[in-house]
Parts: sequence; C-alpha cells; structure tokens
Amino acid sequence: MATATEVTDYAEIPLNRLAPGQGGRICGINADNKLSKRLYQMGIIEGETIKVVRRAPGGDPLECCLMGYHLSLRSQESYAVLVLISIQHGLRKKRRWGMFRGR
Amino acid sequence: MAANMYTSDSGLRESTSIAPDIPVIAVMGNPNTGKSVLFNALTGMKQKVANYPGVTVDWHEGTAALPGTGSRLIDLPGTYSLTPHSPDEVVAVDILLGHMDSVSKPDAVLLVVDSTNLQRNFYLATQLMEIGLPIVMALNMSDMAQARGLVLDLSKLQQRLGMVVVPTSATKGHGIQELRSALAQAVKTAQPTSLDLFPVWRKHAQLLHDEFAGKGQKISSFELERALMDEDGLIEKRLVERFGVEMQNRLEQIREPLKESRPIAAIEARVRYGWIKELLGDVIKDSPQVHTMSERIDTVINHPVAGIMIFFLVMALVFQAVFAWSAPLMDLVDSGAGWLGSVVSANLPEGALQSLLVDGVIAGVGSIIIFLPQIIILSAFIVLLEDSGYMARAAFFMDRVMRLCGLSGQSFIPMLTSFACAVPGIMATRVIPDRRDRLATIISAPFMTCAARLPVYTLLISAFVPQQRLYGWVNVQGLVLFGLYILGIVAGIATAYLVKRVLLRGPSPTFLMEMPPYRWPNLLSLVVRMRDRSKMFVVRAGTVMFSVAVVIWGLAYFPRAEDLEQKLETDTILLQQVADEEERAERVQELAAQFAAAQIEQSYLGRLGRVVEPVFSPLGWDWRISAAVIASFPAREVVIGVLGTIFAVGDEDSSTGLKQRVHQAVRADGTPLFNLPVALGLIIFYAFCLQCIATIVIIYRETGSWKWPAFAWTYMTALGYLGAFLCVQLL
Repeated sequence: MATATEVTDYAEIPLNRLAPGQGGRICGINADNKLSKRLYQMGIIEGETIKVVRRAPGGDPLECCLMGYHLSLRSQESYAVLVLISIQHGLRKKRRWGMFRGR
Repeated sequence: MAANMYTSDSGLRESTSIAPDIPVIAVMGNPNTGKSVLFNALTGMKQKVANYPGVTVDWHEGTAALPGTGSRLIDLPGTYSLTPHSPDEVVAVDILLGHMDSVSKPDAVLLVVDSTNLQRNFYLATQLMEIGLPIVMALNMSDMAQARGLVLDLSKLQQRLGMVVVPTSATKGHGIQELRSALAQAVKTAQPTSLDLFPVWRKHAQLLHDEFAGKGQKISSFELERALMDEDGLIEKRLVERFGVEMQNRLEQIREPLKESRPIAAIEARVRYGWIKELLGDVIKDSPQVHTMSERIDTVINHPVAGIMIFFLVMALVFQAVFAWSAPLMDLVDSGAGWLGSVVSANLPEGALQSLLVDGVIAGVGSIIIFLPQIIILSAFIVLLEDSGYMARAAFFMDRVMRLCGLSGQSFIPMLTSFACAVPGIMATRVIPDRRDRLATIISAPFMTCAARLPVYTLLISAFVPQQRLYGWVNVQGLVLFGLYILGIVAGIATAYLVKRVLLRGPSPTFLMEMPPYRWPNLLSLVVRMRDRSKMFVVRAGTVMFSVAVVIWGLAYFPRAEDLEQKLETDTILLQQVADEEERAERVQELAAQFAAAQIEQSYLGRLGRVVEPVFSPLGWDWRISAAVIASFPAREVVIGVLGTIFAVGDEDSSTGLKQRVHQAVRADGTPLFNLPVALGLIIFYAFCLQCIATIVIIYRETGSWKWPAFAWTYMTALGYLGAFLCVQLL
C-alpha cells in the first residue's frame, strides 16, 4: 500500500506549471462547481492522462492533449487541474494507483 | 408552456403548421463533428434559418426525404453535454425536450459523432440515451478515422448501444443513403434507446415525478433526473422558477443522502466515462497511436515564428478581402442604384413620386444591398476559418493580447473585421461563446474606423487640415487620419473594458476551447452560410433601414416651398434667352442647386436643424451642420451629400466643389462657419457617434433586445458630443 510519504518520486503539479511535452495523470480538480462541471464534461477527470502540447505566445493559454483530442485552457482554469507527474520515470508502473491515495 | 426563457409567445407558427404529421428529427452532436455538413448533405438547399423573436440563437431547419417518408430535420447548436452552460446549449436542450413553444418535440434524434474522437463524443451519447427517444448514430469522419487505422466492431457497437450506427463521411457524401434508411427505420419502429447508469437517481427522479404528477403538475422524469444531478444548473434553476421553493427543497432533500464525498458532477463524469471506456475497449479492435497529419500541420502553424507570420498573413488576407475585394462590387451596387435612379428620373415626371422613388426607395434599397458584398465575403471567410480549424488557432494566438482589454481571443476576428464594416463584424461575434464577452465585443466593435467613415474623414481633413509636413516628411493630414484610427481603437478597448467591469460584472468566463483537427471545408456549407447571412441581413436589417431611409427622405422633401418652385420655373424660362448653350446649362444647374438648398432649409429637416441648433451650438455647429448630422442618422457618409445640398453644390464635381463651399460658408455674423477646431470636432463626432442604422439594427438582431442598441447609440453619441465639445473649447 502506497502512503503519502512513499510518493516522493511523484509531484502533484498544477497543469499550468507543466512545460510543453510534459504530462501525467490527473489527480485532482480544485475548482468551483461551475468550472469543475465544464472540466468534467470535457473529459478532465481524475485518472485520465493529460499532456501539455504547447503554449500560446506569451505563455498562456496552453494547449493540452487528452482522450485523443486537443483542448486549450488558460492558466486561470488549468491551475485548478492537478497532475501527478513522475520525476523518475522508471517508477511509474509500480505506483500506478498511488494517485488515488494522496487525497 | 411558460417554461422557456428564450422564447416569446409570437414564435414562427408557420413552421409547425407546414405538416404536423411529418416526423421531426433533431440533429445533435458536439461542436466540430461536421454536424452541419451532414445536415446539409441530408437536406440540400431545402433548409432555412429558424429564428424566433427574442431568441438570439438560431438554428437551421430543413426537410429531408427518407425512404417511404418525409422528415423535418432540426440542426441544433453543438453541445458537449445535456448540462447546458451557454444559451446555445439551452436552446438545444429545450428543443430536445419539447420546451420550445413553436417547435414540436422531436420523434427521433440523429446523433453525430466524430469518429476520430469517440471517447469524449460518447459523453453526450450516454446522456441522450437516457431521454427515451429513438437514436441513430452517425459515425462521421469515418474516413479520417480509418486512415488513422481505427478498426471498429460495428455490429457489437450497435448491439451495446441499442441503436443503428452508420459510418459516414459528410464531406465526401459517404453513408448518406444508409443514414436515410436508418432514420426512416428509427422513425417507423420508434424504439427508444435506454441506458440506466444511475439507477438510484432515476428511482428518486421517478418518485419526484409521481409526487408532482399527483398535484397535477407534469414534469418529465428525465428533466428531474437532470435537475437532481446537475447541482445549481440551468435546468434546476428553471424548475425552481416554475415551481418555487418547494421544488428547491425537494431537490436538496433528495440529493443530500445520495451525495458521496465528491461533487455529484464528478461522480456523473466518472461513471459515464468509465462506461464509455469499457464499451470502447470492447468494440475497438485496433487503434494505433499515430502522429496525425493535423499535429504535423500544427507544428508549423503554431510555431513561435512561422506561426505568427502565418497568422498575420491570414488576418491580412481576411482584412484585405473584406475591405478591398468587396470594393468593386460595392461600387457596382452604387453605380447600379445611380443608374436606376437616373432611368427613373428620366421616365417619370418631376414631383413627389419621382423624388420618393429615386431619393427614397432606390437610394434606400441601394444602401442595404451595398452591405452584401462585405457580408458575403466575410461569411465565406468565417466558414473557411471555422471549418478548417484555423479559427480556434487564431483565438489561441490572440487570447493573451485580447485579454488585456478584458476580452478573449475569439473577439479578435470580429474586431478586425469591424475596420471594414461593423455590420459583418458584429455578425461574426457569434463565434464567441461567452455572453458577456460577446456583448462587450458587440458594443466596442462600432468604434473601429469603418470604411463608411473614410469619406467623411477625407473630406473634412482635406478641407481643413493644412497640407504640410512635420520634420520634412510626416504628412499632417495623414497623421490626423492615423490618429483617428488610434482614437477608435483606444475608445473601443476602453469601452470593452468598461462594459465588462461596470455593466456586465461577473467572474471572468471559463475559456475551454477545443482545438479541432484541420479539415477540408465543405463547399455546400459555404454556399448555404453565405446565402443565410445575406438573407438574414436583407430581411431583418433591410426592412428597418428602408423605412428609416424613406422617413429621412420625407423630412428633407416636405413641405414643398411652392413659391420657390414657381420662382425656379420662371427663372429657368428666363434663362432660355441666354444664347450660349454651355452657359445656359451651367446657369440652370446653379439655379437648381440654389433651389435645392432653399428647399432643404425650409423643409422639416431644416426646421429640425434649427430646433436642435442650441443643443449643438456649443460645438460651433449652426442649423446646417445640425440638419446634415440628423440626416446622416441612417449612415454616416450621407452627411456629405446633405452638406452638398445645403451648401448648394451642384451634382458636378461635388467633392472639390463642396470643399470650396464649406470653406466659404459663413455664419449670420459673417465669421467663417468652419475653422480648424469646429472641423476637427465634427471629425471626432463622426469617429465616435453611431450614425449607422445598419449597425443599430444588427446589434438589436444579435442581442435580441433594443436595450443594447439604445445604449450603444446614446453612449457613442454622448462620447462624440463630448469629444467635439472638448475640441472646440480647448483648441
């Protein structure tokens, strides 16, 4: 059983802080009811993988890829999406279910 | 039924009364699924835009022949779910549930799905399947999915979904026949699809339904289920509006024990997407991860350097097209109207009828038609940009910049277009999903320096701004013109900012925009859209514009000065004695011009000019300028013609003639009427004011109420007055 202390090789990072090319599993959504409803229906739900594809000139908004399609969101919205990224890639498989524990 | 917040009672009844027994099929789907292209493929040109008084969203309705039956197809606005967020989505859900007064409840649904993006597209499918209507699913863009290597077990998918699934490619016309037979079958058997992912919620919704039914109030249990699951959603809000606090309390009571630690929306999304994942895992045989064509294009189009260059090229092309390509067509309309006018003048006796036809009717119709080239060209570009997928990229690119003035990237193209003409610009605001952003864009778009302001600017600048150079090379006249463009942009940005901060306060809208893959646009869609937009403009805006043009004509024509008319006649006869033919013609023309000036002076328009003179005298305007400004209410550029008449400039060579006359014009006390501050003030007034009936009507049309055009007109006129006032007082 993974506990919070064991998940040191992973970091929960808001989506807007990821660099293009970086991605991981969505592990939390900290948004008000209205925004979270829209995020959910667009497929931004916990457990899905999401990847930042590029940023617009000026760094914002960013374009992500999830469920095989591309979505663009501003920092303001993507800040609410927490992504679990692995710092050491080799550990990813072993800790597959770790993200459901952390919360 | 009073349930609908977007309809008024006087909907287009005719559309229901055409043939009540023809089955109605609602076409639904996510945005960017090629839904409208498929709709066009099914209906051809047998369709029209349905718009209802008070409803700002419109949709297309058409008839499609199915084997053995006809059908009425309603192309609903694209939605991502049945949890409506925008007015578009509300309309879609309303029609689907049979709440739209003038549209009968659909008998079946055609669900259009993007085959290259099944997972997210199926979200709407799971919700639709709960309504209890027969559904046919079109797996659109199946050719693209196939090219990517997607292999589906179609029969298994049909079996699991309990509906007929037809692979289609709307752009290529594949699968359309199959779709027709599937729709005919679905309408005939009327076998509803069903899905029960939330049995507990459904049970409670049913109980609540029975409870209210017991009190004689009918609400569908589907709606109650949606209201229960969509906390603080629009469906709940409207049920509470209808049934009061009692409904609110009941919904909350039921929700409380069912809530787990997570928000209901999270549970709903997780269950639905879980079901979809399992289903797709079952039916997808092969789906290799490939680097799609679209992604490869994007590496160029969204490249930091090349992307910006492409962006500016595309925007320059759009602007060039709307501004310059339309010019020859507009000239053609202009000269056509002029020609028709001269033909009528030549063949009708002089008098009120001739003048009404020439200066009222023909000029009025011409002033409407003249907008069409720009509207048609811009609609074509919007369709091309939207359908190809570039529109989303442009909005993505410009979002940061547009946010500085409180708008979003989607406001960029409407604003850009407004430099040519605010009318197509405001029509283009439909791409903006957020209502507040859209209104702010609509209100600030008319500040952009449109083509109609240029003749006014050119005349006044060339007449009053000295033709000299600063530092040897900066042309002062050019500088003033440039300054006016900047003035418009600054005023527009400030207005957008103010509207969003003061009038439409609220949280900044969520910006979630799908970036659809690049696709080839479809010709039929292009034609249909150009036709619809032009028709809408001519029918909706044209009638008002025409009436205003005729009213202004009447003000300038009546009452007739009969003594002047007689004098003109006798004077003209006297001129017969002048031997030299050339001189005679010149003198006749001069007399006619003088008569026209005298006539307009004592017309209602001239009198009105005198009445409002005190209001405008702080700006240095006398009755003549005031009357010309009033007469230019339908369109700014009219002011030039009216000034020409008032200052008795003949038809020939009017622009230089007018320049001279305007220069020479004096007030009653002998001082010159125009000096630099007064002229600049007039220019600034025209930079700000909303003297354009077409823009006013289109604002009404796009906002659905007279409140916004009234506000825009008052605000812009006040700003123009203030600008002119400051100019005269400070300079």
